Amino acid sequence: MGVKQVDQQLVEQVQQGDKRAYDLLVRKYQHRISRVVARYVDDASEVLDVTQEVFIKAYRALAGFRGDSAFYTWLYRIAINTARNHLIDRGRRPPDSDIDADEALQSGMAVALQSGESPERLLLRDEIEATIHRAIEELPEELRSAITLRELEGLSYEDIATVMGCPIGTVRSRIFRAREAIERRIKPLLEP
Amino acid sequence: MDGDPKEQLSALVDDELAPNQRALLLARLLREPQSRQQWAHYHLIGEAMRRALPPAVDPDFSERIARAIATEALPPSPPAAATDSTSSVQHQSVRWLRPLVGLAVAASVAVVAILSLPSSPLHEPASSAPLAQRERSVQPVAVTLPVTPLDTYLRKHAEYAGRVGVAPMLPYVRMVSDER
Amino acid sequence: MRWARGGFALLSLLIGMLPLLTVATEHSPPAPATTRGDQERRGDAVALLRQMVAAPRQLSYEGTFVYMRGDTTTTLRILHRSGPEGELERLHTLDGPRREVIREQGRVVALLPDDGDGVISSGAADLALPVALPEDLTTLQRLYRLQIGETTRIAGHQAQQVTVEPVDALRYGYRFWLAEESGLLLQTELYDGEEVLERVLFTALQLRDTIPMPQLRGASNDAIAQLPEPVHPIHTESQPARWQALTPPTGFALDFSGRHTLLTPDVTIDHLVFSDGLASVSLFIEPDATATNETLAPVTRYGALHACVRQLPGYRITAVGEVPAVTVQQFALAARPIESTTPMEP
Repeated sequence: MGVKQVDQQLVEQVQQGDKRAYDLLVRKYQHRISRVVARYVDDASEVLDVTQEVFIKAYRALAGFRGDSAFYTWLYRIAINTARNHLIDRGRRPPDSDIDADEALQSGMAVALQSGESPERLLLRDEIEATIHRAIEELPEELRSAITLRELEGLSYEDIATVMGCPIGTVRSRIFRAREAIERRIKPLLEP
Repeated sequence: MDGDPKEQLSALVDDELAPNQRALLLARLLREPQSRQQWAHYHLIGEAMRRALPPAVDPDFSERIARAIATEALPPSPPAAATDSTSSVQHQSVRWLRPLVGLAVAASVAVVAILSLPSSPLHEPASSAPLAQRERSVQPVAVTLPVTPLDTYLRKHAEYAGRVGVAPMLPYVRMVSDER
Repeated sequence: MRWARGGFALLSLLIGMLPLLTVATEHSPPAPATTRGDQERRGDAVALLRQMVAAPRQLSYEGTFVYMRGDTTTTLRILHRSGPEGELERLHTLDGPRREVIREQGRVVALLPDDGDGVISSGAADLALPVALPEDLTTLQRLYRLQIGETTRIAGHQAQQVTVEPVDALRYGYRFWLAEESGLLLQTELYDGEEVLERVLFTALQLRDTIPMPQLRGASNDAIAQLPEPVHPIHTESQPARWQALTPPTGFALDFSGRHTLLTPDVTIDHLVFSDGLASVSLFIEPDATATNETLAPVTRYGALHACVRQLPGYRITAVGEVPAVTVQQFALAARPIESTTPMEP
């Protein structure tokens, strides 16, 4: 599988000594892992601390990673274990109870922005999502369709080409142009 | 056409870049900080669209990690054994079927494999020992296999639970969602 | 005025927004001399349940929902197509490790695209099978109390709530919220007393005329093509049972019996599925040479599922179901072979 191959190549690069390859893996998976951690930990700062711990642990353990499973699956397990242990260390039981639907989807609203020791610049997910959704709404229809079929439906370029009735090269170009347009809108949010 | 490296990066994120172009682009990615930013942004866009972002996001997170590991010794490189996952010893309880595929066994036509949940809490590492032995044998000798793991039963039940009753979706969702 | 069945929903809307519900009787002023009887209300609830079972098979739709169980939340996407050529359904995760289930005529495919792993099985759960709600729901109504609840809005749709409350401790309760227009489920809760064990909640749901094929294949095309050739098939056959559950828990009846070869061709596993019309329990009986004594392991729990393993000399019996612990335990204890010399029904 392609995803596995790209990740595997990056992992091998790290194993051979290139830390920049690890940076790419971090950038790719940081939000997914944060989200997993956020199921166990409420406070936003704490989520980031634990997520940081996950990635450092994974880096140290990378020598032992042999590709038996996908890199993300392996990382995911480290995240679950780290989050659980974090709760146990703090004397808290991992939650048993059901998460209220509203809470699960909107907990960003209640995020504490106090950063404590480390000055973190925390952006609320809602703001990022809103900016991106606005940007997508303003895209020309063919760009919007292309990126939606790609990101929400997970279709291959070939399948998108079939659905949209255009060549694969056009699909590739449309998705790229959609991303460029969206990136322009979020850059000011993300950069200092 | 294929030339624009930013467009190539977009294709790489979707895993739609030809393998022969991948190496070159990865090399560029590693060299250029702004490409790495773009890589980060493109992944972020997808996650925001799927509403899969965590409640709060730290834009400097990856730099933090980079700083943290800058002083760490590089992880020692693994032994020279092949890391090709199809030939390495399988540790998950049910993926052992794949090495057996290479053996000449007459099989009937129906196409099946075994679904593995790698994080199965029921997998007992001890029971993988006999599997390693089977790895090296050439013939599919009848050996005492470990009993069917509970995971397989949970999944099989989910297939049938959806047939009856009024909440047919739940069993599939159980099948599809996270580790137990 | 009754619930409009799926196919007639649009027609009813055209007729001029007649109130589709007879069920909101708590909200409508009672007629001075007559009130709706319990029987009628139960009838409405039954009609709702039937629609709830039929609608997702008859309609094409796509939606996003959240699945909550214990401390885990997963976001998933579902696409379902129903047409003259049959049904096709794709369910996939939007977060966490990628997982997909594709159901179609004749087979079910479960995939882990990130790992390049998957299962394809035929039989039970594929969409060639008709909807399995018995015509006669009397048994169901003896085991569960059906109650119409409030109307509310979920994911932009008007929803009607129905509670299916167990009369005993052998089964769980369900709360369903159905879209008034279509009968599709917008929210489902599986509960045990005060505790909600599982919840499915739609955050977006749209009816469609149809869903294009590529969207139903999604990322799975490549994944299926790359699944390794099998050593042997997972073979399932509907067979007369060689095992039975003597005195199963109240209300459960045998729904399916068959045999599988799951991990290896030389081991055949008997599988019995029991159901009370809503919940189901599987009994798997596997030959196990290492089982010498009779033992009963403690019940283990996986969200709403419980499992109980019992050993008999030469056999390992596993009971699994979305029922309380006591029920799977009773099933595990009730399992015994059907003696071929005794004149018993197969």
